[in-house]
Amino acid sequence: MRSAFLTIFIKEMKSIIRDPKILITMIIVPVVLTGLMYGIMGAMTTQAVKQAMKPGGEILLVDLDHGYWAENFINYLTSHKYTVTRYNDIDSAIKNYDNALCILVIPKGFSENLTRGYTAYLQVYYKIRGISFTSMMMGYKVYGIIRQYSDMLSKQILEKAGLSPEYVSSPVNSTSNIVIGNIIIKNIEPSQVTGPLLMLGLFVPLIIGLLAGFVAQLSATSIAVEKEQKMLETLLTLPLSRFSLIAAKVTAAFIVSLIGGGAYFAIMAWYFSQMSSLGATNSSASSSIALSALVKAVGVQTPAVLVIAGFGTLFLALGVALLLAMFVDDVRSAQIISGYIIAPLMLSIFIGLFLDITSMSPIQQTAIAAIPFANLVFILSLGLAGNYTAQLVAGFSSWAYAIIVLYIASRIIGTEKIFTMKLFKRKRRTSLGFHLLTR
Amino acid sequence: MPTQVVEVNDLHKVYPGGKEALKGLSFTVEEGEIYGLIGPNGAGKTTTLRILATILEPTSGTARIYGYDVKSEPEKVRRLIAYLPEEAGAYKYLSGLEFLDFIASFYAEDEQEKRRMIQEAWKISGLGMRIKDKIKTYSKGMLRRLLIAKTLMVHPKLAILDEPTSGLDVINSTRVRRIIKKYTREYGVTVLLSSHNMLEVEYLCDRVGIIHEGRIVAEGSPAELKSMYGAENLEEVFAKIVGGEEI
Repeated sequence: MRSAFLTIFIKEMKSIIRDPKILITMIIVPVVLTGLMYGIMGAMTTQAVKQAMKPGGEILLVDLDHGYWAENFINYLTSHKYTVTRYNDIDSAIKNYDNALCILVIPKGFSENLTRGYTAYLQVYYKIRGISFTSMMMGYKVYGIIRQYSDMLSKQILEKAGLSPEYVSSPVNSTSNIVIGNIIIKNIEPSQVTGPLLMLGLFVPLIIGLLAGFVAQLSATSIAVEKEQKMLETLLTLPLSRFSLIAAKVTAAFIVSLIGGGAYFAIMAWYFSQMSSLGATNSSASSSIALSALVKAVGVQTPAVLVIAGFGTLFLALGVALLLAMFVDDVRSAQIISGYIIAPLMLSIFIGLFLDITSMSPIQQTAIAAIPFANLVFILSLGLAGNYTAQLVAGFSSWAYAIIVLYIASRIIGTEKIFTMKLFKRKRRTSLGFHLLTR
Repeated sequence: MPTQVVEVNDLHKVYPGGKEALKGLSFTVEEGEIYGLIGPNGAGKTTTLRILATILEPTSGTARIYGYDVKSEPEKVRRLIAYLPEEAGAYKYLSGLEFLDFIASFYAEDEQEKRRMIQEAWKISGLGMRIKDKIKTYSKGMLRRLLIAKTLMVHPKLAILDEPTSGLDVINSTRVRRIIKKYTREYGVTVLLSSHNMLEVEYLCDRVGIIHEGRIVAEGSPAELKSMYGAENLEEVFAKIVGGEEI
């Protein structure tokens, strides 16, 4: 025969999948909306960046110089796919400013200045037509082509003078080396290390926080549904252990949350990979060197501790939500309750981000590592500081709290407190608590 | 000597907040009988049934089912009872059949027994092919029949029914009463029920306990009570005992 655990688990999964209040409002709608939001943002940003990087476009040009270098610059523009429409004065150019990138004025003396070795200025007039990302990116396009032309001239001038352009543009330069813990990585950009560091220290804790919110909401709802559908009394008189009941509910909420959270994670990962690919310049070889050095610096156990702490945090959020939801009567109240958990949870993670744990003594570090939720953020810093004891505390303390909370929950569900204690006092006659107290 | 299925002795229940629902309640229910607890609102009927169903804990006194104490041996008690609360519902996103399967899974020893339980419940409920529909589409009467069926299909040693026909129309109430009477006689199930409906109690119960302000104030078969109080029916008995207006 099927065990009590499996029977309740199957029922839970069926209820979650079939109940539009849970499946649609708590999983499908948020995931679809987030997907759409990131999809639109990603597509628009990619499009805007591609448009801005693509050479070409119309430039309204007012040439007041009529000299050699003015003509040379205009030829440079046309050779780089820009359409140049000439106007005699700025006013008529402004009147005809429709979809042009900008108005470019070559002032009188431009060629003379360049010939005599003085800096020559171009005047750019950019019309603000809106606050769209695309229109703002397009405005910057012209500065790029002016910069290119200027660099080209600079190179020619220096070569004529017999000087190295590289030397003149940067007589003093630097190479970048990174020290993490006791490891030195030579010739590497800081961004190549800070990227994975941010991923482990910030992105992963935030994703876990998001998942914990999901788990809290689902587990709180799973208990409230029993009360709302008036099944709790029947359920508690069935010959099944309270532990099976709690464990099955916890497992179902956990699995569905992982699926929902996985969808969120995939959407965010897709979005960030799109964004990072737009400005990617580093080779994958140097990135993997940075990553392996980083793992050496923080210790190979750090990612494992982060995973352990992550699951502990999820179970803790789940347990607290379950515990509080025992004292409410309906799904709506349960969702309010889960909000009370999610808000401090996220706040705790954010506070953790601003706390410099590395400047503290090892004892203080260990004490702070026991703070649930926030400790997710500290795991990486503790690895860098080499305080592995505190790191283990951070990794396993949430599990200890979760076990205690779930134990309390399974004890309470076996007592009458689940009926007699209420977090929200209601006057509805249909409330079970009301009946219990008045009969 | 008949076996005592339920033994309640000097039961007290004080709720958080100080409300005293039971003030020394005592009664017994013998094997195979249908025992009815009747009383006005707030008399302590539901509290008594919930204590026997192991949902609430008594403040003092004892309540035993087949000798098992409801407070110290609730797991053993739960294997012997099936409880139907007054305001019971069911999982509305399951079909009637899935719901019966869910309940039967906790009681049946093997798949064969589970199938037997479900078939029996299907018959008791009289839902026909609607048993395959989602519970959310059921009327109140259909839901109550399904719940009666899930309570009786497991052949409990003791069925605890709180207002079994509460909120049902005459046709559905009559049907439910017939089901209870027929089924309990057929399988020798002991029943403890509470009701406001004196006709129902007279029709169903072998013995009746009238509960008032947390105590049993009168007990006996409907015929004995009527004769004892010189009344024509249980309603008159009830009114005389609890101090209602003369009929």
